[in-house]
Amino acid sequence: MRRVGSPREYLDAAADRAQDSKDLYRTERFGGAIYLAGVSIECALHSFLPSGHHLGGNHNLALLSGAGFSQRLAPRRAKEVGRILTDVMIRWNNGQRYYPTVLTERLIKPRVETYRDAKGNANFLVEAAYDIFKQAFAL
Amino acid sequence: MNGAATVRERLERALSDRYREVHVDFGPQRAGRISGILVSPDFEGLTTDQRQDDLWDVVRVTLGAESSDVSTIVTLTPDEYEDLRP
Repeated sequence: MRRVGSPREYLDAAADRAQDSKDLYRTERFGGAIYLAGVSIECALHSFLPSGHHLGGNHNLALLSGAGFSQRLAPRRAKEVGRILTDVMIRWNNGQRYYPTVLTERLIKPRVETYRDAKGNANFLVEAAYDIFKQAFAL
Repeated sequence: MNGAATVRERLERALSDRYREVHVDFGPQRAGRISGILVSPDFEGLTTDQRQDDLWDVVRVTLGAESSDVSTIVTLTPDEYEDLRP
């Protein structure tokens, strides 16, 4: 099977996963919506990695961002996007693909002040994915 | 002394002075704008907006016009950072 590799393909994948996440959110499949929102952001960040990078298997969004996306971001946006990435990394990690929704909720709830339930968390992540995705397209 | 220190070194020193038990992970790249993760128990109980406000106060006071050499920095508590492990 051919591996995805071009920046355009990663950006298209980011858009597709963001839409998938929204669709799952609308049908109240919040565990899947949360996971795919994070994947969408990961895809968007991958599209900015320079050729020859060594982060292919890395799911750490801060390091992925630092290697490409953050380098091209306007300085005036750095604080805002740092806040968005912080919010996302508190709520998402790649291991959540193995979690039932109830476990995602239980793990996140104690640590997020504004967190209410899986629905609120999914909504936040879906919106954050779109924020990052829109900024990625604007660069 | 300050003149010889890089922007990265000056920022790391300022962050160590400002935060308790600080851990800085700016990733493997040594060139380009500074970006990565800052971990400290001082972030516990703060909103993510408050964390970023505080961090960027340190950045601006320390680096002045060179603040534009800094890009996104994620601000986490030790527990949140621990949860990132695969």
